[in-house]
Amino acid sequence: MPAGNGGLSPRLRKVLEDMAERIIPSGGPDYPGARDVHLADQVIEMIQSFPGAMRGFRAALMLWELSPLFLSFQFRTFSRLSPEGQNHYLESWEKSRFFFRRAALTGLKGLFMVRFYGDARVHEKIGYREGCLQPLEQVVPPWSPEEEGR
Amino acid sequence: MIYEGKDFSADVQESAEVVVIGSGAGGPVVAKELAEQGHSVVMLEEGPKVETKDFTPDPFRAFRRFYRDGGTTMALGRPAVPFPLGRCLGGTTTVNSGTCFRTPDKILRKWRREFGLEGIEPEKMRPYFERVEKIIDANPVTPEIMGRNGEIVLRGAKQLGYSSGPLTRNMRGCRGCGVCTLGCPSGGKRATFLNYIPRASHFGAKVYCDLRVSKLLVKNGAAVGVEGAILDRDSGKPRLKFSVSAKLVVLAAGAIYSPLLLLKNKLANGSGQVGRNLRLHPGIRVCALMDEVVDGWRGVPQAVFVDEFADEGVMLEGVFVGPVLTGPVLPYFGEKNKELMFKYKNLAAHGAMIFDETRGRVRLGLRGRPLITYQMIPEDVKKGVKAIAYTAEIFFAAGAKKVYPTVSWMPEMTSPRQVRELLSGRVKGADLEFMAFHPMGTCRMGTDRRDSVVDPYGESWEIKNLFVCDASIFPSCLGVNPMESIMAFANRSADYMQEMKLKG
Ligand SMILES: Cc1cc2nc3c(=O)[nH]c(=O)nc-3n(C[C@H](O)[C@H](O)[C@H](O)COP(=O)(O)OP(=O)(O)OC[C@H]3O[C@@H](n4cnc5c(N)ncnc54)[C@H](O)[C@@H]3O)c2cc1C
Ligand code: SF4
Repeated sequence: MPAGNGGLSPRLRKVLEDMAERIIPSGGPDYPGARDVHLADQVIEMIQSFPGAMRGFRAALMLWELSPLFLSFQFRTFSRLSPEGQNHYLESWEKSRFFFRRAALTGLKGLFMVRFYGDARVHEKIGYREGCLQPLEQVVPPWSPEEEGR
Repeated sequence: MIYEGKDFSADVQESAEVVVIGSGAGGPVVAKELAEQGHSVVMLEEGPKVETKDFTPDPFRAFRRFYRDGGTTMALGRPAVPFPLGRCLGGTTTVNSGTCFRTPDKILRKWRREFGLEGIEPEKMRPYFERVEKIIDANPVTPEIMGRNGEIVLRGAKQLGYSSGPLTRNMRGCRGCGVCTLGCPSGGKRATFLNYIPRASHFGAKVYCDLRVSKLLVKNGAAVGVEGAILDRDSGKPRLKFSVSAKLVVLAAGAIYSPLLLLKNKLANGSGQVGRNLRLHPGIRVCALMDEVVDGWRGVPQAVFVDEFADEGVMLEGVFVGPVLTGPVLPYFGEKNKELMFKYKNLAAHGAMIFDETRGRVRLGLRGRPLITYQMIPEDVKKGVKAIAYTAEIFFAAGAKKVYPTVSWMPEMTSPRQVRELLSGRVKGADLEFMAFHPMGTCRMGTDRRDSVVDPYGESWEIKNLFVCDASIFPSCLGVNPMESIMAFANRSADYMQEMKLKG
């Protein structure tokens, strides 16, 4: 369910939505993407569940928005880049020779994917079903003194 | 009896013969063994109480509730190595993969030879392993619960003639539902909250959850108790105070938080070794795209091993994980990553760990938190590369179409030729993505008080009656998953406490 904006300005909201859409783009009905599952809302909801985390999150989004200005030669903020430009910018992180930039991109993927691939609608599409190989009968109980005689 | 923080509305004062800090692999063994001998025992756990019904397959919820800091513990270095820690009743055993190995004879002999540790010869340790295995239900993975992911790895290893087999795990009635690291929803994985802790409790030990120890009390050079706070479950903030006075204090808070407590209290560090010698068994993960349907989430996620390369310091072991954790480690983002994830049913995954010689360090950081550093040495990076190469080779032998090795400049491999390329290429640590699960060694035992923290029975050289009984005490890495070793050594320490400190 939409969680409100968590105090995000329209500009930061767009940064978040653009990031989500670049990392997990939306496609046809058989290929849900970020927009199809309201991923930005889900991420906001997740961050809000950590008391006090929203402030740091807003700051991080702002940093990300401004980062192309000093990390690439395109004199535009992230949200002002075209979708292709945003993809190129993310690619520069993925292929960076600096470990921490690559690791940061993995972290970003994690941030969005923890919600996206935790979504039942997506599970259905990728064919993931939590499923046991043996029938789930009774739960095996903790040890009890009676067990000693078994 | 197991108490929770919410059971208390006023400060708590306790006294017992033994107070144990931490309810993971080591603490509960000491608590149970000594309570069974008729001693009064109090065990304190910072995390929440858990029961089997609390576990669901939702990774986000599980990481938040049962892992420390949501599973984000990290050793800083190039590369940085994330290593999640459990923080709940049962400690990391509640969220681990359940693989059981005895300490290899070779390692026990090495400790005898290099560290002068006596009384830990394989034949002396055997009864401890047998006892532990009985209590935790150590059993081999059977074909019915192995799952196709494990079968594929065994098939590839067999094709290449590599030594391999099903793993032994602490399990009874495991259904192969594939979510061990989120907490087992069927009770099939026998974490300590299902065996040692109920036994300890039955013999009269009192177990307190939501209690964080911050102070170790010492009088005339001997440990006499602990103090700390009862935490509010939701905010994690201190709510009330508690103290326990005791004859023996047993530190079993794990390889990061045991040394941290000693450093905070400025205790037992005459050797300067507290927090040093951190080993992690850094691990790599390789995914493979198969023609066949794998449905890797069905079956025991860490089901098989390949120990062909143990002499080279590489051990291959599972794990297949759910889509939430698979997506981020597959290469690419956007359309390409998504395409791969939509073939999730055809993905297989396996991991490997290396026997590390790197020595990391735990220091007291800002606001009392640990600052963990681990700068991987080139020899260990080489082992990491081998680990990836051998795993990839096995997948190709099993029929993989593509392999994803998590090497920054080689996002995917399409033929076994690239395995050789990788082995002969120049790979830096920062080109690889490691993760670890086995921190150890930060309060190492030894026979010389000048270069070890505890004696061969886990007692501090400097503070009488203060014992360390967890993963911190190992003087080198084990080369196998540590849980059973921690338990066996904790059992040995408990016998020593009974004989030398509590009897009569
Ligand atoms: C995902 C994962 C999978 C793993 N799989 C395996 C496996 O298959 N086989 C294997 O052998 N090992 C495995 N391990 C590792 C194994 O579980 C650990 O090595 C083992 O549990 C460590 O035992 P311990 O007693 O040292 O510490 P822990 O089990 O970590 O327990 C320490 C406890 O102390 C508590 N504590 C810390 N500080 C305080 C304090 N100040 N006051 C009160 N309480 C405190 C913590 O909350 C924690 O519950 C795995 C680990 C992980 C994370
Ligand atoms: S695979 Fe077995 S041990 Fe793991 S969670 Fe499922 S039932 Fe429990």
